[in-house]
Amino acid sequence: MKRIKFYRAFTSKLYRMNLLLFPLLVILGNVAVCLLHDRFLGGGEWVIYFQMNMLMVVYLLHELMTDNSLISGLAGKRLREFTAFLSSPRGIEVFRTGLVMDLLRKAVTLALSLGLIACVNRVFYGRSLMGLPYALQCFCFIYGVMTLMLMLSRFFQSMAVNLLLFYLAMIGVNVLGTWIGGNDHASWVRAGQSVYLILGLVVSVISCIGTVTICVRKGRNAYYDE
Amino acid sequence: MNYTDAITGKNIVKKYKNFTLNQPQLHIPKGFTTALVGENGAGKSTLLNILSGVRLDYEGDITYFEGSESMKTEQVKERIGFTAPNDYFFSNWTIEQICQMYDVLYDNFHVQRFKDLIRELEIPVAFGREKTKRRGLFDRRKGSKQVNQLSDGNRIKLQLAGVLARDTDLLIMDEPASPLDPLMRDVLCDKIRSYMEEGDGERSVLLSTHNITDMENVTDYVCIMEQGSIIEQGFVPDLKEKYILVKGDAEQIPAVSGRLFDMTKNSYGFEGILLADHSEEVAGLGLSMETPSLSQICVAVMRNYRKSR
Repeated sequence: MKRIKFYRAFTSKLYRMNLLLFPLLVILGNVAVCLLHDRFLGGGEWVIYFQMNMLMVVYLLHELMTDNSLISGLAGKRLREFTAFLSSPRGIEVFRTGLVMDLLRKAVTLALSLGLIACVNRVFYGRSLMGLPYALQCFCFIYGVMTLMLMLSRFFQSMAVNLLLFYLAMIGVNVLGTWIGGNDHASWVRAGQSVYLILGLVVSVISCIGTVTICVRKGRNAYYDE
Repeated sequence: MNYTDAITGKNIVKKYKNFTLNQPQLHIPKGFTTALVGENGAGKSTLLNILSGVRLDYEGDITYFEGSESMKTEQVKERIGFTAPNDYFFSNWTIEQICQMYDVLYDNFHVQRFKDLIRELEIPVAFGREKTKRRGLFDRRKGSKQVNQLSDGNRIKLQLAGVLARDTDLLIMDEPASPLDPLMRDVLCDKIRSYMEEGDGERSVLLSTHNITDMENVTDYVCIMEQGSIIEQGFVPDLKEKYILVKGDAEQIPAVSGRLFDMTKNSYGFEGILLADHSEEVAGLGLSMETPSLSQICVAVMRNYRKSR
């Protein structure tokens, strides 16, 4: 309860409302994909690949932009707005809890999105088109890319730089896909690619620990008197 | 005067590349308002950051409330209210969010008192139900203001509301008066006075200022800081007894030159500060002697320090 209270204080109402819109976006987007897919592309089970690619793009963009609006430049050189936390006996604890809870929330959003996609597919095709191992593979990889981008984006305040990071991330994912999957640049969406699961898991853990540690350290040293 | 210490410091040292804060002894009296006066870059903000527990990378020992607590456990921060000139909150925080944040950051924060202070200090926001009553749920004009939409003065007022909405024993305020208009400075002085009165001798205030004239009527004790050290300190009445304001004509300048602590000349005459202990040396010269203002004492002490370096 205490952690939720900390998180509620850490995030603005607008930010939390914005998060509620994302699942709606996922449902609408995937309904549209299923409808258009059947109508224009003649159906086929590979709709799931398209859905996962789209989820990666939209989720990454959404998380980068909302994070920028909440705590842009937190790990940057010019962080100064930290006195409220530093002058409180539990300021750093509240700050750290806020960051960790938000990372958890981001994971829940992604898991929920995957669940919603499975539900939409079940409605259209009678089955989810993804098993648990495939869902885990996609979850770990997308979350890994997102947390890595998040860690880097927090060094910059500018939305333009964050957008640039997003484009670089997309290029990076394609290059990685080509490198691992031969000529298949989107090999991460193919089923049974456990290398992406492991890679995503490792990157997620390192990035999550990294971003929290860096932000807390930056915050502790964010003095305005220098 | 008998008093105990709200803050006691020993050998406080903080080194930067081109500047060192070095305060071998520090005594901030309990039950009084202390003003820390000094020019830009004298080390006031660094010292206040250290004393408020914001900055922990220093050497030395600091104890609070007659030595009963130190910053090691950080729990002492619960008893201290701190305001800083800028960058206190995340700039995209809304005022309602700040209220929630104070509520989780401190056990002794009173939400209703904060809201009352917001209204009293005329900070342009409205809270939850007030918004719905007036202009519907999303009153963008008043209800959802972010810190970056407030003026510097309103930001300081917001911090003031935050610290006064808590039950603290010590207020540390870095340049609280600077961004405020004259009317609000008066309100600030009133708030400090009532904070002290309600404390019944148990509360203390430590504030820094460039311009002591603004805060002179609430100041009981003064510390004058130069180049990272406190070079003069004392209760205001004691300092006003220690220093005398001397005025005279231009032809009297040669007679007093070298005997005054500090002097400013013009073509008609001079004005200077004399140490009361040396008053006999200028007796019989027909000079006009008055009690100096705190501002005049501070300027003289700082100028004398510079000259002697």
